[in-house]
Amino acid sequence: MNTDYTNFGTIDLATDEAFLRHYLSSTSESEHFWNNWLLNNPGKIAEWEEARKLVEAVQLGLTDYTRTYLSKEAEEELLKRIRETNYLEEIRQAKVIPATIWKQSRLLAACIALAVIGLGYWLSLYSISGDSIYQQQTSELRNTLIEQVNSQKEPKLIYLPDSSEVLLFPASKMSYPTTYGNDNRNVYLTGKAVFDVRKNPERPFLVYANEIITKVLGTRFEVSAFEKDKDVVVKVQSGQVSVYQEKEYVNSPNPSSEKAGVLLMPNQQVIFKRTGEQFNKTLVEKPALLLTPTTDQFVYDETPVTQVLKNVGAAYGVDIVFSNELLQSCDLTANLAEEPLRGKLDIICRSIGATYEIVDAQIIITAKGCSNTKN
Amino acid sequence: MTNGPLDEQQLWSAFQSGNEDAYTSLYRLHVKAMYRYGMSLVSVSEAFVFDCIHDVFTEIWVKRERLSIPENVRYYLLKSLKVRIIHLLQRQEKPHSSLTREEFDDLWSEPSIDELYVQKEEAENRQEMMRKLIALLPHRQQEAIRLRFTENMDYQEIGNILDVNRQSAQNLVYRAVQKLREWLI
Repeated sequence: MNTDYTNFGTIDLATDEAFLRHYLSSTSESEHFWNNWLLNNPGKIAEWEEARKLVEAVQLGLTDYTRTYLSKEAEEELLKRIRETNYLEEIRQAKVIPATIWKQSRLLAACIALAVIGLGYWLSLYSISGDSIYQQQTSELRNTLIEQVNSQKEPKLIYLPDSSEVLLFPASKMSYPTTYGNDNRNVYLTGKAVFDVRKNPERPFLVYANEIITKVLGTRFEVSAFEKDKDVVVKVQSGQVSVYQEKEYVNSPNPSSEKAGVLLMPNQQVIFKRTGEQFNKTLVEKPALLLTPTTDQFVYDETPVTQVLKNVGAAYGVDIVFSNELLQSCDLTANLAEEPLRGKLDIICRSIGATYEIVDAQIIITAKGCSNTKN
Repeated sequence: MTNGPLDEQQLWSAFQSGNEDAYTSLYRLHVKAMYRYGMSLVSVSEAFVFDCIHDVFTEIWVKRERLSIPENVRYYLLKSLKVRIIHLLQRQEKPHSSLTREEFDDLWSEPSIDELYVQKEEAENRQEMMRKLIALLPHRQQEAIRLRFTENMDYQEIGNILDVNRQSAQNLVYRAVQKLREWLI
């Protein structure tokens, strides 16, 4: 504090480093200095006082700036994002050869060690049991991903930026890019999750899970793709879903060309055999009604069986294949309201001496026909 | 400020050795200042400011072992934030702007007596009036007085942030305060 203040005016004081430091965060030392200063410069008291008022006025004018409001939620949200990025980055670095080995690489021994480590890393990329597909997919996008991990025992509900919902099951992880919703709706999954996707025909929603990609425009469906499982399963609850093998989807020459995939309707599921790389389409274990049933739905009184089957098929959104001709003289009197789909089919088939099987997510009825009992 | 520089430097070195609590404390101490400063630079996009704060914090985490201890942590973080913002903005829109910011400030025209009078009359209170008068200053002067009077940075630090030397930074603040005083009388 060796400044010569003899010729200082109000503005000189109001912008003086020591004066401001004292004004903004005074210490006992600065207090002492300025008290002495005022005692020794009685002629400057007016300037000192005016400078103080001027600084006060500037601060008053900056109140809005100083109080720019950052909500607690936003602060926490941002911290969470920062931590997630750091976490991903650390996982990524743990996989990479430490920098210190590079420094010693002039030594032949180190070169060999490097080659061995490199080979191990390369192998792990290609072995099914090694480095996970999820990690490979997400590490390429390391800095721009938001990751959600469910290490709890209960499923966890996650909202994506476009307000699509994801119910993430225990022992599952999901990531999405920070650009989600802008030019893509890509999600990376390892484990199991139910997706309830906001409709947006312009931006398909893609779930990358192990070797497959599930593509939808807006619907509700479940993907189960645990690293250790032999199968990847996609079940559809509503809407339409297409499922592709990742390599086919990505390698397809023309982005708009038809890609070899499996189209799923509600109550259908596809099981992808990871070893044989095969899709197997079938009905889900417990098909659900597509619409809430009206009170007298599934109550039949001498109703033609062809009509019953059409009715049931429509209610569950499944194709029921049967011969109109063979079943034309069959009718049914029953209350099937409480039965699940398979229960309904059992009762119908038993009453007309038929059997059913599920082939490629269709229900095939094999019947001999009904003898006309009213002859 | 409740935390003296010593505490902050201890926090900083704890963070450098990988202490996440210290890292979180630093975040909580400075995120509000970074937010308001970022918003004062690019008020159009809050999301963009958040992204930039995110980048600053994740970058210092990755580089933590190689960083030195800044004398003024707030200055260091605000400076990093501005560098990040400018870097991203320049990448977004290729520079066809022929005016530098200094040149732009030279084009700044002093508000007329009428304009001043209207601003002073319309303000509902003194705070409002001061805010309006500050808004009439050239942008760099506004930024300089925010850094000086709210963030309590010294002129050397302000100069580093505004890419000018210490004396020029002090001149910016001086001219701003001089104008404000003139307008107030």
